[in-house]
Order: sequence, then C-alpha cells, then structure tokens
Amino acid sequence: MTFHVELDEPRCVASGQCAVVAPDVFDQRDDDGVAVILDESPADDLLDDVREAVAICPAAALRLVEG
Amino acid sequence: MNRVVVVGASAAGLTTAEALRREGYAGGITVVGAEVHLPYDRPPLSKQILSGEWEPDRLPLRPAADVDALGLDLRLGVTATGVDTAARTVATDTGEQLAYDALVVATGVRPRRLPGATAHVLRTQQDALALRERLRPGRRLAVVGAGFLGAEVTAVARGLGCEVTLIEPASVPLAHAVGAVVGEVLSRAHVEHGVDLRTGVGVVAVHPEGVELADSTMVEADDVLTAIGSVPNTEWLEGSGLPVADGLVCDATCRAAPGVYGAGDVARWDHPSFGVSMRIEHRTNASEQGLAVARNLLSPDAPRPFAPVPYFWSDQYEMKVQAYGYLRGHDAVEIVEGDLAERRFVAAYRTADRLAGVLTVGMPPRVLRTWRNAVAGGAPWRDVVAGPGGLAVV
Amino acid sequence: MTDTVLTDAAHPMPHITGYPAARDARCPFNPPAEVRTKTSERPVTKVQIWDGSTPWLVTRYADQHALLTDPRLSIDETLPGFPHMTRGRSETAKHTPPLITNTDAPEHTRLRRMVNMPFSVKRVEALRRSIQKIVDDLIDTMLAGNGPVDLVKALGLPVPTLVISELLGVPYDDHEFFQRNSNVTVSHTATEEEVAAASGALAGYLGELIDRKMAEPEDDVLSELAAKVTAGEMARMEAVIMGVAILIAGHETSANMISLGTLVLLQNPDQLDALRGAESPKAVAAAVEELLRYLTIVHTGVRRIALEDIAIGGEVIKAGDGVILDLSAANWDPEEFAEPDRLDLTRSARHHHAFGYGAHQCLGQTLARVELQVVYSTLYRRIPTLRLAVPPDEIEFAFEGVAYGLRSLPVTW
Repeated sequence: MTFHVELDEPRCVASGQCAVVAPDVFDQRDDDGVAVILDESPADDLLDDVREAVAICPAAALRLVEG
Repeated sequence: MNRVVVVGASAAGLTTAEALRREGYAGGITVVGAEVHLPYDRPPLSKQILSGEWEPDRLPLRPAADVDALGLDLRLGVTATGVDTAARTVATDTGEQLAYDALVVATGVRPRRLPGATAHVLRTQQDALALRERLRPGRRLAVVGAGFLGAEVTAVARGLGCEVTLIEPASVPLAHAVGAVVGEVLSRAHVEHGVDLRTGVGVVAVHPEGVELADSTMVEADDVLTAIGSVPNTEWLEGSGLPVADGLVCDATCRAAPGVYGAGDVARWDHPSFGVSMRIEHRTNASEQGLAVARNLLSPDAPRPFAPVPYFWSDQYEMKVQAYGYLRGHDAVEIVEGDLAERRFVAAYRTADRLAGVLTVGMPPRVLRTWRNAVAGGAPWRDVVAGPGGLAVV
Repeated sequence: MTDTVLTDAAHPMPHITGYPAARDARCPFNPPAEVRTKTSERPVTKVQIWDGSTPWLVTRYADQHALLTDPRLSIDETLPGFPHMTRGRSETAKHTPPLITNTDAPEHTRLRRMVNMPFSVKRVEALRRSIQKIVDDLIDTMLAGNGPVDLVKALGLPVPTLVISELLGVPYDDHEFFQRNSNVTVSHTATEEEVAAASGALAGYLGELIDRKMAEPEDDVLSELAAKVTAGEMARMEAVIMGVAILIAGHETSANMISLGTLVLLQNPDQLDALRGAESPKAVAAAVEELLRYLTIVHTGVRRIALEDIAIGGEVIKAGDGVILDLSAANWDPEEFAEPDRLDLTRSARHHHAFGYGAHQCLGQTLARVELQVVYSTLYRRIPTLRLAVPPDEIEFAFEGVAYGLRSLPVTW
C-alpha cells in the first residue's frame, strides 16, 4: 500500500511543526516559512512521523492519502 | 538642564525626544510641530498613500498612547517664528516665548514651487491626499522634475491609469545625483511605461491649463505636480545669529551653537568620514541624527561626531532603487555587479580614490550588506574595480 | 465570581457558572474542579464572564480540535458579542490595528506569513547554540554565588529576554535597558503607569532600532521588519507593534514555564531523575511536551465568536455567540490523555493544546520549545542538588494573568 502527502498551501500558516516532527518529508520555504513537501510518497518507516505531522498541523493543511 | 525645546515634530524631532527619555532625561521636553498631526512617516506618502493602497491611519510613527507615555509638552499646529539665543527663548505664532536650556532645530524642508498657477506639491499628508483625489484613469498629470520624488509619483500615477508627462530640464534625469548612465536606465523605465518624457527643456510657468515650457510649447494637464527639490525651513532662525546656509550649519557633532543642535532634513553638518558638509533629506537619517543629537545634548563635554553611511530607497514601477553613501560630486561610476539592461545591478561611485557610495537596483539584501560595509569602511577604489572577488572578501 | 446562578429564557440552563474559575490552592497545577467536571458532563456549556455576558465554554479536546480549525469561528475582536478577556482588552480592541491576533484568513494568513520567518524551524535551530550559552552563563552566575536564589529572577525572566534580544538584533550594549524595561512590562508588582512607561520606552527604542536597521541591516528580525517597511509591505508603526509583541509574548510565558516546570519536577523526584538521566534529545523533547500539557499556563481560555450556527457537543452555538476554549481543560481531558493528573514525561503528548490550535496557534512555539529543552536538559544536570529553599506551601503563585506563573521560586543547592 502506498501513501502520498498533500499540502493545501493557501491554508498553511507556516508554523513549521511538520518540519519538526518529520524533517525528512517536510521543509519550510526560506522567505515566508510556508511548508514544502520534500518527499511526496514517504517510505513506510516515515509514515508514523507523517501521521503525527498531519495530526498536529494547526491549519489542518496536510493530508496523507492512500494510493 | 531641565528644559529642552524641540522645534519640529516629525521623525527627527520625535526620535530626539524619545532618545532623551530613554537616556534618562526626566526634565521638560516641549515639541513644537507646525502640522496638526501626530508624528508620521513620510516615505509612504508618494508610494502606498498616493496609490490608495494605504489609508493615512497607517502613517503615525507611534500609537498615540505611546506618545502620551513620553510625557511631552506637545504643541501641534504651532509654528516657531523666531529664536533669541541670548535669552534662550523660542517665539511661536501663538505669541508664546518658550524658554530652553537646549534647543533642537528639526523643522525639515518644504517643497520649492514654480511661479504661476497653483500646482500640487508633495510633502505632507494633505498634499498626498489632495493629489490622490485627482489621480483617476484618463486624467492628465504633468510632473515637473524627474528626481526621485517626481519619478515615484509618475510611476504611481501611471499605475492608476493617468496620462503622465514628465518634464525635466536636464538632458538626463537624475544625472547630477546618480550619473548619466544610471539616470538613463532609470528614465527609460518611464518611457516603457508609456510616460511622455520631456528632457532638456525648462519650465516657464504653470498655468491653469497646464505647463508652459521654455521652447514655448504647452503641456496640457488636468493637474500639475512640481517636484523640483526643497528648501530648508530656516527663515524663523533669521536674526538669531545661528549660522544658516542652505540649512542650519552644524559641526561634526550636530551642534550649531552652545546648546543648539540640528537634526533631520534641515540640518547641515560636517560629515567626518566623507569630509564634506552634508544636508541629507533621507528618512533614516532623520532618526539616526535625532538619536545622535539626544546623546550629544546630554553629554556636551564628550560629544560624538555623527558619521552615518547615508541610505535611501525609492520605488519606481517594479524597480527598487537603494543607495548607500554619498553619491553627489562623484568622479566616476562603474557597474560592478549585475546588468544594466536587466535592471539588476550595483553601480559603484568613486570620489577621489575611494568608494564613496553604491546604488543598487533589484539586488538581494546580502549583496547590499556587503557593499554597504565596503562604503562604511571607506574601501579604496582599486579594490572595487579589481573585478570579481576583489570586494567579495570585504 | 464563581457559582453565579442565572436563568436565560432562550437557553434554560440550570448552572451558569462564572469564568474563569479559581484554582484550588491545595493542588495549584490542576485546572479548577468545576471546569473539569464540565469536560465530562457538559463539554459545551454557557458561562458568565466579567461583563455579565454568557459565552459558550468548550472544554473537550476533540471539540476544541474541531472548532479551532472551523472557519465559522472568528477571532475578530471588534465584532459585537466578542467575549473579551477583560474590560481593558475590550477597550483596546477598538483601536488595535489588524494583527495576527485579531484577524481571520485570508488577512491573517498574509500577516502571519509576513512575520513568520524568525520563528521558522531552521532559524530557531540555528539559535540553539546561543540559547545554550545564555543558559550556561546564567547558571554559572547562579553557582558563582550562594543559594538561595529566586529562580524566576535568576533564570526564568532572563532566558527569554536574552534570547529575544538575540533574535530581534538588540545590540549588546542595550541589553540592560532592554531587560529592565521588559521585566517591568510583565511584572506582577509594577503599577499601571510603570508598565505604560516601560512599554512606551521599549516601543520607542525598537522603532529607532528599526529605523537604523533600514539603513544598516543585519541578520536579525528587526532588520527583516525594517526591510518590510522600506518595501511598503508594513507601516513603520506596524513593524514596531510587531517587535513589541514578539518581545512581550515570548517573555512571560517562557519565564513561567521555566519556573513552574522546575517546581513541578522538584515535587516529582522520580520524573526529575528520569529527565536528568535522559540521553536522547527526543526524550527531553517529549518531557517538554508533557510539561507543556500538564501545566498549560494559558489558563483563561482562548476567545472566539461564531459567524454562523455551529452544532457541537449536543448544543448549537448561534451566530454571534461568544466562544471560550479552555486549553487546560482539553489538555486534562481523560478521553485524550489517559490519567491526565499524572505527570508522565514519557507519554506522547505532542498534540496538546498548550500553544492553542488552529491558524492562531502560538507563533513562537518552536522557539519556546527549544528554550525549554535547553533549560530542562541543563539546569538539573548542572545543579543536581537543586531544591526548594522554602516549604512548598510558601511558594506564591500568580494566577491573575492570562498565563499563570510564580511570583518567585526560592531555590538552593
């Protein structure tokens, strides 16, 4: 089963929490801190971190979808 | 000392008062301001205010409550009319005599005007709002003077859909300030944006129907803006014995006479590292000089020379122009980074054998900082022109 | 204030209690019992606040999680019916310019992105070393003297001010002025005039610094704000207000977490031992999250107003109703955090609401976390014998502010 990460960019408030808990998958843009997805289809061993990132995103701007 | 009178309630005057309080001065501070508004920021007038992007409520330098907290005797809408340096008093148009132990002259400048019918000028909030009211799509605006102010207004007016004629007596706009090469690049932007640029032609007079040029043509316009420089507000100092020559003349520590200091646009002082007498009408200089004056006023026995690297910025169309140093009277200009044609470049200015200043368009902050440091450090010109890497280590 | 009984014809409810409720002095870390009861019995219910109005109080974690990302709730404090924290706040709200603390998306998103860079994860991580040095130096100073010392003054207050000075780009020469005045602004003992004078002096100072940094930019936040002023993206006054807000917001809250965290750890020696022995940064980070959850110092609720009817928790919040979300109640909601009364530094608590949730979640949370990670991983190792210098019941709490804390924390070693 594969997953991929989606970012609803206009919602992102650039809190950077995704980049803290899943630094291999997320980064922040230099100029305004908006989230950047480094790895759209993260490997299985990263999925727990990604799920946490999705859960704590204060703007509810991240989604982990199957397929 | 317990009575300081600051004449002028804009950036320089306010900064002086704030810095006095911060340095622990608890005595009286009277601030006299000719405008009725609380101290406000002027650079947005020809930019965000004129374009309608901002309303004037975003202009104050400080919220009213913070100004209150300074405990000032703030006299707004009051004009100083004279000073008696022997009696140490300032006279005002309300008939008062304000006694001082120390006086700070921060009365700024006013726009120079042309003879003839009334034209717009741009210095105050009211000026900006009055002009903005007139800038509607299809209206014809004639701008006399293609300096930085005239250029900014032209750009904003074009953005608002006005037909603009920009008139400049010199053959290349801004050539005296930034050199012909850079002046040419900046003025080309006007032409590309559909401005009717008339250079090398003087103005005879402003008429109700437009501007009469020296070649006897008439530029018809619904409105005329004159942006031909400014005049220091020093008339009220006449007869005081204070030295006035295109501004209040101060020494390197911004002191004009015992207990009298100058700050901001009105003040001329001997810049210790550039070795010239300067008067600078830049926003940041007003604050920096106000700060320096407050310090020196409180430590008259150990005054410090005021030696800033002058800085200004100007927004024209999509270009952000920024300059450090003292470009006037330069001997040579060289493009040391970027490309003129792309309007992304650093122009370096040589005076004698040193780097006197730089002007940049569209360069990132990191690049600017390196060049500013080079100007501040008085870099020798040969390092500047040494080519790539010559200054990279500065 | 408490136990006021009202009847409201439209919404007959038997017990409308006053809010905020008082904490029990015997267990000061616990959210008030009457608020915790609501979490289990009436998770969405009306309370009465200072002005007599009766906004909704939301105490359950799941409900808060849903509401704080719901665009039907607004933070626009100028709307009639907004449940202001205090009379003072309701007055100043009328004149406050648009800020990240009083605007909704999309304006909020624009403003927040504008001020966000200094708090980006990379920027904050880059500060970790300086923060460590600040903490090390302050502990050196403590150890150079003899106990007892007041930990609030010796460490709690100076750590965040020095860190913020570094971040904003306050020249070293001005640190003393900066620290003295910012301490007054968060003091529990200063008069209103003293606070006004100090915050005025700070705002004036930051304004001048911004002007200077327009001309002389460095690698710091005030230079970035200055660049936004010259770029016409921000008015000069807005940049100053933002600078002051960064200073104040990050000051008292971090200070309170440092001293309260130390107190609660000293009272839980097994947890303190575990933290002291923690090898991995992850374990320290987890401990910080649990302390944030357990203490939830912002204890008077975050405030919103409904723009439309919202059905939640068996009630309908009507358009125009005020809504208060009690963060400490959510963080002590047993449905989300098992045995919430137990401090367990190994639990997975990172999704707590201590920094709020939703678009308005604390801007400085990453910085606060790093500060706390550094303090908690350093202080108790450097001073293993650290202990209270007075009996626990003599420690004075300050409950009256938006964030609760300690007036002083006498410790010795």
